[in-house]
Amino acid sequence: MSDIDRILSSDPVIEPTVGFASRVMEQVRQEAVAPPPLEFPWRRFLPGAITCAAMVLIALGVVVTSLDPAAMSAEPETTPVPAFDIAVLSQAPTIAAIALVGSLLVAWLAMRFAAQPQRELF
Amino acid sequence: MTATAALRSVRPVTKTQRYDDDGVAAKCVLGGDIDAFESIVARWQGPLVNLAYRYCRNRGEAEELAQEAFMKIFKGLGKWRQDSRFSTWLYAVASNHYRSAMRRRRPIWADMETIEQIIPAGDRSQEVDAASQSEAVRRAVASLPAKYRDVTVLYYFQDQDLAETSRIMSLPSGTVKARLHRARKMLETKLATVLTTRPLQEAHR
Repeated sequence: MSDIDRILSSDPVIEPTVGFASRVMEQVRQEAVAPPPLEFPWRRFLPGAITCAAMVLIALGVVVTSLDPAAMSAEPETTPVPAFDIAVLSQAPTIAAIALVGSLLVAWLAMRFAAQPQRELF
Repeated sequence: MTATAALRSVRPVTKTQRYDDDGVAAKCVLGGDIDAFESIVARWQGPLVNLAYRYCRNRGEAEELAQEAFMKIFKGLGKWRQDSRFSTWLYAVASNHYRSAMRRRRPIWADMETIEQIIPAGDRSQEVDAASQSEAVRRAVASLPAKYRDVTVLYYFQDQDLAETSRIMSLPSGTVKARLHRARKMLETKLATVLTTRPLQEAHR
């Protein structure tokens, strides 16, 4: 056995102070009666998140479809107004309708969840 | 059956006897009997406080760390798989907590200058007391990089039981052995001036 081994093996033993165990048990009992931590409200969060994601996807889809390569590469003389603007303008009512429906849906879901009792949500 | 044996068989089992076994106590706690945890605390308070002390070298802090470790053990009792010994799982939870707590609280770093401060250079020709020498060794251990320090602390706490140390640390025994070897080499280098000039038997009086 080396010197270091001998020194480290002879580490002094300390005794816990009187009342240590009762302090631990007091904390344990407090922990046991404490209400469980609130769970993340997935049921409230998910519909909103899904709606937002869907709206983003729809908006992206609209933009991508409006960027028609043929229209973009057309000669400026033959198309004085850019093709992108025409495409967007022609779909404006659709976009507005989707945004309106989405907003109404989010508002309706929010009101519905707010009105529900807590026990039904978890 | 004799009368005594019959009496013994109907005698109610006391709380302490009932919870003599950690496994039984753990099952009772999981079943909602919080008081059963008291027997676990009573049995393991000494070892956990001592293990914490070896990490932080401060009695008050050691008790604080041990108390936190007991809370982790209480909360995580359901995660104990019965295929490993309760003590192994308990030490693993506690030592993990101590290690991360030490990382968070303050970096322990004792370089050679600090060790020289413990045993001034002027004393080297004389016999220094064992306490100073032991203190120098322990400070040198505390100054090791965490992976070497942790394995060294646990290994000596477990009475140099390599297998148990590797189980607690969830490391292959070869890795533990290699880290211990490297830690010893580092300690020997750090303590070369301290250990070679002092009669070591003084440390074990």
